[in-house]
Amino acid sequence: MKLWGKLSKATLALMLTGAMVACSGNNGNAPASEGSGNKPAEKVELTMLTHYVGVNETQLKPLIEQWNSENPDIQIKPIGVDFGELQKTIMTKQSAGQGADIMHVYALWGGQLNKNNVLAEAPDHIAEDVKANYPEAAVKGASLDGKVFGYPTEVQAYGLFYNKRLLKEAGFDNPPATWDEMLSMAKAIEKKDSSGKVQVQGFGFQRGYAGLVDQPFMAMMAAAGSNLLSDDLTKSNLNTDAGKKTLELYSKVYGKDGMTDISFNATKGFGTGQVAMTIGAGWWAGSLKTVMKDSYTDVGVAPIPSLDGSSKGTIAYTWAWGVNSKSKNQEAAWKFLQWMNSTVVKDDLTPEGSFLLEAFNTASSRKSDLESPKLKEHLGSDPIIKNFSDALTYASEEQSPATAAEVQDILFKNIESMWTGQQSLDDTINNAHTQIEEKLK
Amino acid sequence: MKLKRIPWISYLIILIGTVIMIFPFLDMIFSSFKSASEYSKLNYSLLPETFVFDNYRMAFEQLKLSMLFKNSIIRSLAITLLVLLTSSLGGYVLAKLRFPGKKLIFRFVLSTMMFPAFLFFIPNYYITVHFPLVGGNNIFGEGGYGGLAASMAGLIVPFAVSGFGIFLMRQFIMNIEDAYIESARIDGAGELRIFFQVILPMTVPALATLAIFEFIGSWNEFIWALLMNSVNNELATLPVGIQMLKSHLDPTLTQPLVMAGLVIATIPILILFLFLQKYYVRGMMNDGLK
Amino acid sequence: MKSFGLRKETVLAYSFLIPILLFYTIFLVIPVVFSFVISLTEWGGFDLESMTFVGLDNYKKIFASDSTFLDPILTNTFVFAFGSVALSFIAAMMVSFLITRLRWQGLWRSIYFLPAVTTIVAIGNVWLYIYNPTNGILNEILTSVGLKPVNFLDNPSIALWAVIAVSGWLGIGGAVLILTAGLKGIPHDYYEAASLEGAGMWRQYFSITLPLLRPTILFVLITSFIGGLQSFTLTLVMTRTGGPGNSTNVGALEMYNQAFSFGNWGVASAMAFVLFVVIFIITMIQLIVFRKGGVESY
Repeated sequence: MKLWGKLSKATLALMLTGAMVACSGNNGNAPASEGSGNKPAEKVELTMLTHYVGVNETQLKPLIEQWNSENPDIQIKPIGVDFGELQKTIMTKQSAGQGADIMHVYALWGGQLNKNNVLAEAPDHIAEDVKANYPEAAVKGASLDGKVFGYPTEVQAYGLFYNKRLLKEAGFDNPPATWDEMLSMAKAIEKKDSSGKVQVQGFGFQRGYAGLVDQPFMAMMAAAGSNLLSDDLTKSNLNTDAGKKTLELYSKVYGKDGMTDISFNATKGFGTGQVAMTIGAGWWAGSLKTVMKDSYTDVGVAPIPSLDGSSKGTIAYTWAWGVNSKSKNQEAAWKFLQWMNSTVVKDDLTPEGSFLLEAFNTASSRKSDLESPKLKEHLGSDPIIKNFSDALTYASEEQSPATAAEVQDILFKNIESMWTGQQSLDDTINNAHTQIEEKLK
Repeated sequence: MKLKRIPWISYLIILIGTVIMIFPFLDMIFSSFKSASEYSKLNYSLLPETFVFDNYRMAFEQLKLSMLFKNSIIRSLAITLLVLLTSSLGGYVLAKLRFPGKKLIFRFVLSTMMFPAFLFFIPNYYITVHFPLVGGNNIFGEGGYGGLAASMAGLIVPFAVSGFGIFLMRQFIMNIEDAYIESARIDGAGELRIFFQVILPMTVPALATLAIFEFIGSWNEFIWALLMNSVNNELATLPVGIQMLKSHLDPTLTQPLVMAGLVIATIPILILFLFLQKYYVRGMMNDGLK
Repeated sequence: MKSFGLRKETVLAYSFLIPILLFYTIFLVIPVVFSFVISLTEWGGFDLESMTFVGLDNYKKIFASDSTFLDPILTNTFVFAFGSVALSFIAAMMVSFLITRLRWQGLWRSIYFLPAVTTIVAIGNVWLYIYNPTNGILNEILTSVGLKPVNFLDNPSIALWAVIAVSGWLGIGGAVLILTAGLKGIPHDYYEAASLEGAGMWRQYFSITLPLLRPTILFVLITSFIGGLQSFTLTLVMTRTGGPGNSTNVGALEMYNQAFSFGNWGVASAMAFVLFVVIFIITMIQLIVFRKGGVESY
């Protein structure tokens, strides 16, 4: 319906301009002096939108400063926005013509970004570089419609975090390999005081926002042998055996048939050594290290338990650097990204590689980084980071249909409703399944 | 009234109520001095074990406080001045001038107060961002870098007129005698001069009330500022800047920081209110509710 | 008025009104029309060319049997508005009545008004801490008297009421202000005459204060109910998406998230219109009630 759009546009423009002309003088707000649009040709300033705020922002800064001092003609200006606001920020900025030149995007948003044509396609030499140097899940994550749009950065798999001390105190030497084992161990470890307040939690899921609940769910479901959605992203697999079993497991943790209290904050509790087991992504190890200090040595990570104890499965999500399709300085942006992701700068690592290691204690997924002595030494001495790096070999990528954010919201709200006793397990399976398929149409 | 006959129980009830009203503020202030490790403890205490200033130090480091304060102050002042001007102009015209369509316009102004704000988020967001001929936009409102939202105008212009303000000023100006205007006209004063030099000085009490109301209201306004901030991060106001400190991934981690930020953002306005509450409360009670 | 023609006065009036009328055209009239147009399309807020006309599809989606908008979201909206009004009204009735008999009236009024001049960001975050299940004061009190801790914001049957309590707390000051104004309007001699006849405090309250205060009470109740139906900032700060599940989600919040988190501007605008119509109907009822109840200026 192109005509419709043109018509309404013309009408709106006419009305607004009419209003403007009539009030010339009343509305004399000068346009802003700066904007990403009109810059002189020689020296450019590129804005770079990321979700790195607070501590991470300060860790990223030296790298940017190094580039800025070495490249006076291409200055990078980072803008940090909290993860919870980033997608909204990218979309609103883009629709307002304020979009940043360089964006750090979460692969899950790929469908929506693609639909609105936000990201530029990577030039050939960069696409080749990406295809040759990153694992398949990462390349897929940094591609839209099979075309690479940028450099994969944080490629994070999910695993089972456990507290060795708590397991040992209850007489367990090894982390569980099957779901049944995991539940029975959790029951043995759980401790409550007389009022029913949880003192030690055997197993808890982290909560708080859609991704934190959904991603572990998809990882558990992958361990049970299936992705959340069909490969062509048109069907939900929640009504399959794996889907039902996973939701059943979820119903045994919190809620009416749950073994522990949902109000006990598992994220916080794990940090204070009061939670024995939970599911988390690789980056979390880094923040646990800061929070737990000396008792971080209690933390162990194992592959996600499966139904039979032998098969393996998890998911990995991908973040990637991309360039705005509307940016007037795409060439300069790619030049910077190439430096950031593929040039060796320090300790045989790329700037991105050393940032990932320092900020999140995670290994870069780039081959040249993985072969560097520094990272090899790290992987050899730190079983946790090794575990997550290995998981990337069998992890499936997080699926991203155009309505991914809504699908995640549906799954999140249904699981939460089950956990808080608003709907039964069967209703949860049915509702989530039908509501998700509705969004995939 | 017969104070002696008022049993102590009235005082007791009011005092209990006072505690309930004030406690959250005390909790905010004391918590802002708690160390991060104290937040992860499982028990509550009002007072911190030791007063630490780390949260403030970090808040000052991570918040661009000077930008936030500047934006908040410019925004609140500009909206206040614009609303005072448009309200008194509109109120004067609707109270004192005779012209066809007066009743209709007054009805319309009253009815604007009935439109819920949420109805306008979506269209006004689009209009602000695609405002023609500002922020690099062409005459069709396209091609620019944010329209009105490219500058502070995006935070201010959509709030420049207040139906409530016009109504308040009209009610107040109605009580001013026509004789003042007539004698000024006989003296040969121009209409603008009559408005600015005869009418405005007499409306100072109402203007003061409206000014405090608008200033505090726009200082605290959050949703629109949040939206504008996601278009243009240079437009963050204090409430937005602090909410953005809060980590989505790990809110417990940033809680102490947020508390310190909240103290910084709210205490100035609370003090301002306590100093001016006489005008605010009295004005609202006497003029606003007729 | 002398020597001043009607025509000249008309020109003057309209030239004074131009900025105001222009403002309302741009930011009120056009938006309402535009918003209705959007509600008939599928659109993500980008180029106007990308709008697709879909007729009433968005409205059908909202009213579909498996839609969450009517239940629980719209139901929550009403519960929220009703609950907040009830709480703040009852508290405000007590407070405003009691403080007319106390010293330092201005001080008390200001204290009860403090939350109303504080940004919602502060209110929401502080109450999140108060409700905190592991180290908030409320659960500390509950456990110290031997009760079980309560998951205020995690328990779907409590979460909405937990937000309502904050909203009610927030509204006390405003209601006190209006009610005090009403109380001051009651002539003093009524009470004196009554106490001469030996009527006690409660008798006076029920036979003089309440009946004479009726218009003010109606005004407070209805305007704050309408305000409650529109409100969503507090919920946004406290539960972000209206969780757990949809148990604290309200109409305006759902609209906001549909538009700016999911890019469904069409559905969001349709929701805004449905909610607007609901509020409009209630406003009309209010007008009728006011006419009958003796409040004139509306």
